Amino acid sequence: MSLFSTKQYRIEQALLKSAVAGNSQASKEVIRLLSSPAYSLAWKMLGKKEDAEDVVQEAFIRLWKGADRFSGKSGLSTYFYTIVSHLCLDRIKSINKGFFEEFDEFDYYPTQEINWNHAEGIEPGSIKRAMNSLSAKQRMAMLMWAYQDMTAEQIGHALEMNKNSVDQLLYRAKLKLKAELEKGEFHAIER
Amino acid sequence: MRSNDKKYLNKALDQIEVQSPSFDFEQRIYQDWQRAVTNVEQPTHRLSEALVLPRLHPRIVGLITIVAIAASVLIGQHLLMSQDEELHRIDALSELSLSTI
Repeated sequence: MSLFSTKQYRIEQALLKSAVAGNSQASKEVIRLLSSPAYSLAWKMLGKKEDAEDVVQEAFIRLWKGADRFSGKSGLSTYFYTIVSHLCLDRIKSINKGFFEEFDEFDYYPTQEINWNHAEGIEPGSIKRAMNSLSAKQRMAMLMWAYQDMTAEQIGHALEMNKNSVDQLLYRAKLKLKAELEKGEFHAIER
Repeated sequence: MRSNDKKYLNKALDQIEVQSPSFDFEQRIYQDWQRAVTNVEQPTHRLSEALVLPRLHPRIVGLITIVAIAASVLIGQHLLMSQDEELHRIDALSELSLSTI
């Protein structure tokens, strides 16, 4: 762990401890830091305001109650996204009973950088549709990686997977996303 | 350093418009926090109640302690003074009885 991250961890741990001990200023600071990006993540995962708000609220309750478990293996935001991601996946499981794809990334793909040769302005609607075509875990990993700028290690920590599995999951997600976006472009040209 | 596909996808995902949360969303989280913190502090029996009280209301407990100390000092002083008076009274009575003898 670098000097900065150790220092950062101490600051975050002190802040969380203070919030849990009853300091309202510290709790407001924790809420301010985490609520907005967590809500965006949950919304992009679930697509509904009420669901996203419920998940983030529940995640905060778990954070307050389980503050002792914040060990500093990752940053506070990563720790919080772990809680949010689990709650999102649980919610998707409960909504789509029988349709939830469990971890299915067993085949090994030699991962390599994908060439995105789409025009700069893709329609937001096409991106949304393409994202919805991914499995819940692929979508979560993709959002954490590209949208929240988390590393594969951090995602692995959040989704309880090793780094190689996360790399595979992301690679397959990217391939599928690219195919879906190309399909969308093709339909747009056809129209 | 960010890879090109990460940059590209970040840009693309950023385009998905997120519906704003309710205006009182953060307030509700804050209320949840207050409830959660109060529950954690909730005493389970009388002894822990006494231990938890100073953490929940430090000012009130401090004030009560100061008042209790001041009251006990005053009562102690009063008791000592009244004991002295009693001794004086007994002395005076015994002197009176001796003089009458």
